[in-house]
Parts: sequence; C-alpha cells; structure tokens
Amino acid sequence: MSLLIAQNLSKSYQEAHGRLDVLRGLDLTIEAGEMLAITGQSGCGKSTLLHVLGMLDHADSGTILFQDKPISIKDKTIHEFRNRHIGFVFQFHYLLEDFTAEENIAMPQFLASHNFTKSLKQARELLKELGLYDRREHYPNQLSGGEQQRVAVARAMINSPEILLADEPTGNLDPVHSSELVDLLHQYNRTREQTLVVVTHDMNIAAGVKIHYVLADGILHPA
Amino acid sequence: MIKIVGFFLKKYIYSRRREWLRYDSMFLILGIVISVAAVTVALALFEGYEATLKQTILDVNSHIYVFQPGHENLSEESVQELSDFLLSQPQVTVVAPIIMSSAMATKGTRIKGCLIRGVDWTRPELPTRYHGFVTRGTSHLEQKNDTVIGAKLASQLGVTVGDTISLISPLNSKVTPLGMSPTEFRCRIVGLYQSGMYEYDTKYVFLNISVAAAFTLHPEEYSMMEVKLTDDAVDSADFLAYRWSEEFGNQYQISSWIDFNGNLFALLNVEKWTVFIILSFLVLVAAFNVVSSVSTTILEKRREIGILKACGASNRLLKKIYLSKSLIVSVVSIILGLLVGVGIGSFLEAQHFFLLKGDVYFLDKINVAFPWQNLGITSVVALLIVYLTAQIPLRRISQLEVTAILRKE
Repeated sequence: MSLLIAQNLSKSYQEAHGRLDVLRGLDLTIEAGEMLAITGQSGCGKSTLLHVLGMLDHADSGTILFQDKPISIKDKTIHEFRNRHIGFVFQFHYLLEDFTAEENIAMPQFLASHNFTKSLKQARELLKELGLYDRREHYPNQLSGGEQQRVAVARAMINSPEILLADEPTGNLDPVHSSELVDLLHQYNRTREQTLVVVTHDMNIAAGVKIHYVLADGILHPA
Repeated sequence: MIKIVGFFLKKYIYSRRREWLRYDSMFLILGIVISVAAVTVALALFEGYEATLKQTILDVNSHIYVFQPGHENLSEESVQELSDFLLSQPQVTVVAPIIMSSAMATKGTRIKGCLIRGVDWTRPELPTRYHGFVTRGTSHLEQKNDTVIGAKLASQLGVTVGDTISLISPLNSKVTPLGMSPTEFRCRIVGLYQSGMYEYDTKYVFLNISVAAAFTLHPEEYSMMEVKLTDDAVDSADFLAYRWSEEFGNQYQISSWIDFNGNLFALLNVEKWTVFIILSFLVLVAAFNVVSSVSTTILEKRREIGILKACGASNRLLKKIYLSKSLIVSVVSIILGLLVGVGIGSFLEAQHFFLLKGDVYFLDKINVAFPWQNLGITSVVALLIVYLTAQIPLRRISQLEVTAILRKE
C-alpha cells in the first residue's frame, strides 16, 4: 500500500493575459519512508503541487489517495487530517509572532490533544533534540533565521505526521544554516523513516536525495 | 476546544503588544460603555420613579376605599357595619372613616382651592400615614381650630406654622335672612404636611373629623372609609376590593389603590420598556465598532490564521478564538458601562439642581433604582447584540484560503 498517490492532477490559474496551466495530468506515487526532491523552474507549480498534496489547495481535477483512501480539501474534517497526517515546512518560517518557540512547536499537538501540558512537554523534547532548549521561551523575533527554521521543522514533526512536505525550506537561509537544516531532514528520514517531499531550487539538496523529480510542463519527470 | 480558546484569550490579554489597547478597540470599548450607561441610567430613572411613586402613593393613600354609591355619604350605621366586617378580615389591619370636602383657603388676598380631609387625629394609627408626613410643627390638633396644611399650599398662601387661614366652602352654604352664605372657618396652622406628591402637598387641609363634620354641615356622616391592608396583601388589593363588593351585594363601592393608579403603572411599564428598546439601538450602533474591530483583527491576523489553518485548526475553532477576544472586550465594556450608568444615576439622585416638574410628574425629586434584573437584561441584550454583530466579519475566516494568505506573505 502506497502512502500517497496523486492521479491525473490538473490545476490552472486565470491570469490577466490568459489561463496558466501549472499541473497537467500529473501523477505521483509516494511510498512510506521515502525522501523525494522536486525541482523546477520558478513559477512552474512546485509549491502549488505541494499545497495540493498537503490539502491546503484544491486541484481542478484528479484524485489523491492517502493510504488508499481518497481525500479532498472539501471534506469537513480535512483540518484534522492536516493536523494528524501532514507536516509543513515553508520557505519562510511562518512562526506565530506572539507565541514562544515552545508554544509554536506545541501548537499542532495542542490543537489535536487539547492538552497543553503534554504538548509543551513534547515540544521541549524536540527542542532538546535540536539543541534549542535554552531558547524555548524566546519569541520568533528573538531567534536567528536558522533557529526559526529548525523550530518550524520541530512544529511540523510534533504530531509525527506520516508525511512531511517542505517548500523551499532552505530558501531563506545562509549556506551554513541551510546545510544544517538539510542534515536535520535527512536525519529524520533515516532515524524515523520519515516520509519527506522537498521542493527546492537548490540542486545540492536535490542531489543528496535518492528520488528526484523535475516539474516541467505540468508533469513530473525523473531527473 | 474551551482550553484552546482560553489559551489564546490569555495570550491576547497578556500580549506584548497590548492588542486590546489598539485604536479600534478603544472606540469599541467607548461605544459600548456609553450606550450601556445610557440604557442603565434610563431604566434606573424609570424604575426609581415607578418605585418611589408606588411607595408614595401607598404612603399617602390607604389601600382600599369604601364609598356609598351615588356620591352619598356613609351613615354612622354603615360605618359600624363596614368596620365590623372589615376588621374581621385577616388582610385588614386598620379601618377609619374620613370626611372630604372641597373648599377655598384664603389668607389676605391670596385664594387657593383646597381639599378638606377630616381625620380622627387622636387615633394612634390611621389607615393612611398622615402623621409621618407632618414635616414642620406638630400633628396634634389639640384645639378645635387647629389645622395641618400641605407645605406647598402654605407656601402659595404665604403662610407657615402659627399663622391663621380661612376656609370657605360655597358648597356648604348656610341659609341666612340675607340669602345663601358660604361657610367660613378660621383656623390656625399647627403643622405642615409634605408627602412629596405635588397633588396632595398643594391641596390638603387636615382638620379634626368632628370639626370637618361641622364645617361640611353633615354631622354623623362620613365621605368614605379608609382601609389599610397587611404588607403581603397590598398587591392583591384590587382582588380583595372586588371580593368584598360582591359580599355586600354591591351595596358599597369598594375600590383599591390599584384601581385608581393601575393605568398609570401600566403606562410607566410600557414606557420603560419602549425606552429600553429604543436605547438598545444605541448599543447596536456601538456594536458596529465590533464589525470594524473584528474585521481589522482578521486582516491583521491573516498570517496567523493561515499558519493555524495549516497546522490543523478548524474554521470553527478560529472563529471561536477571535469571537472570544471581542466578547472579552465587550464584557469588560459592558461592566464599565453599568458602573458608569450606576454612577450617573446615583449622581442624579443625589443632586438638587435638576428637579422634576411636580405638577406634571407628581414627584419633584429624581429617584433611581437599579434592580438586578434590569442590569442583567441590559448586559445580556448588549452581549447578544455584540455576539450577533461579530458573526458578520467572522464569516471571512472560512473564506480565507491558506495558499492565498501564504502567497501574499
């Protein structure tokens, strides 16, 4: 049983100068424990694909099966699905400004369990793993770019999601922090068999990943 | 879900940026405080007026009156029969006959219409609290020509305790060789009566019952019987009056204070709630600030909403979080509004600059009352208006798409 299967996905945007087709009958199968990299030119639809796979956006047509069950963004409980099965890491950290590092990490767990103490405890464990325990009560603007992104990864991981979707996770980091973050993602893939889909411009990241696709003309091509 | 909402609320209250001190929040608070205060003051004035009027009416009138139908006077036998019957009723505490007659009070060139009330002042307790309202002088009418008159009547006549006035009654004229001569009676003022009821303070002239009988030229006849009821029977006075009329086979006309004033209180009640409804529109207008405040918050928090949605927060939860922020501000504003309203109301009661026109409103002093149920109704209605108004901008939360938010960020 595959973890996630996308079949014949199409998505287009209506723009001032006409229709822009970003996905044209795209197919993709992701097995549990795999790490995939998707590259492509700017504006080719990489982020759109990731959002569609993560149920943040809808495709115009096509189906997505998660563990062989069809899922749709229109499902009433889709927020629960996102909370429990999907972890997101974005190019910009997108941390909640009014919440401390540990509260940010605990948030998805808190939304699921309604148990703040338990969620906070788990968040602190993750912060220890990341070497950021001392920064737990710091607000996002008191953290460096690399620290912010590692906190964002920890937040995505707290509910042990089946699949982690990372959209240009190093796009906003310097080479040193970028390398640290890629190592962290590889570590999660190796030690926890975490399924990972990384959308990136950085060919160095893509080169380190076993499965590498290039998105062009709305479909995926093996690199 | 309550825990999550509570957590966000705590964060909001203790937020580093003091969100609730924002410009739009201040206007929201100010609008609700002013409108709730206005409603509170209006209701307090009505409630105070109604309560004081009722108390004054009950103080200056007896609870039940018994007349002879057809403007006839009650005979000595009728008074005895009625006294025996009424005093045997468990709801009755005191019974006494009185004499009433219209007359003119004069002092020098000043003449005023007045109402003679002949009362047995020697009795320790009367159905109506006459003694208690004698604010100057005494209520002991020791001499035959002693009188107690309304304080405002005294002022209109330019007299006070110790002065003499003449009472003239053309109704009770004597036949003389020179023709009809109006009865004239000179009396000395020993006390001034001040009930707070304008109508009474400008009209009443009290005499001893025997003197009044002589003045009206109807000895051993009485105008009516006054009846005082036990406290718990006061509000059912109309029912008792009806029942006793039936028992006497409508031989006597028995009326209660409710029969005389029922319409007034019904009207006051209608006016009170009409004003409440009208003033509730003030709260509604103030609640429009809720729309702008919540809209601004949602616009400002687009990023936060997008992130929380991506983390798995439902639209329902997000709506509850942002609604609770508005409600907490509104609850504080409503409490402040109530406090301001109570403060203004209390000031109006304490001050002596703005008085009512006694000849129009019966009472000249402004009185307020703040029954819990009125404060409760005001709070609940204000909160309901805020809650319903907030639903309009909250709908936007469902319409916000995570991808659109993140793309703009």
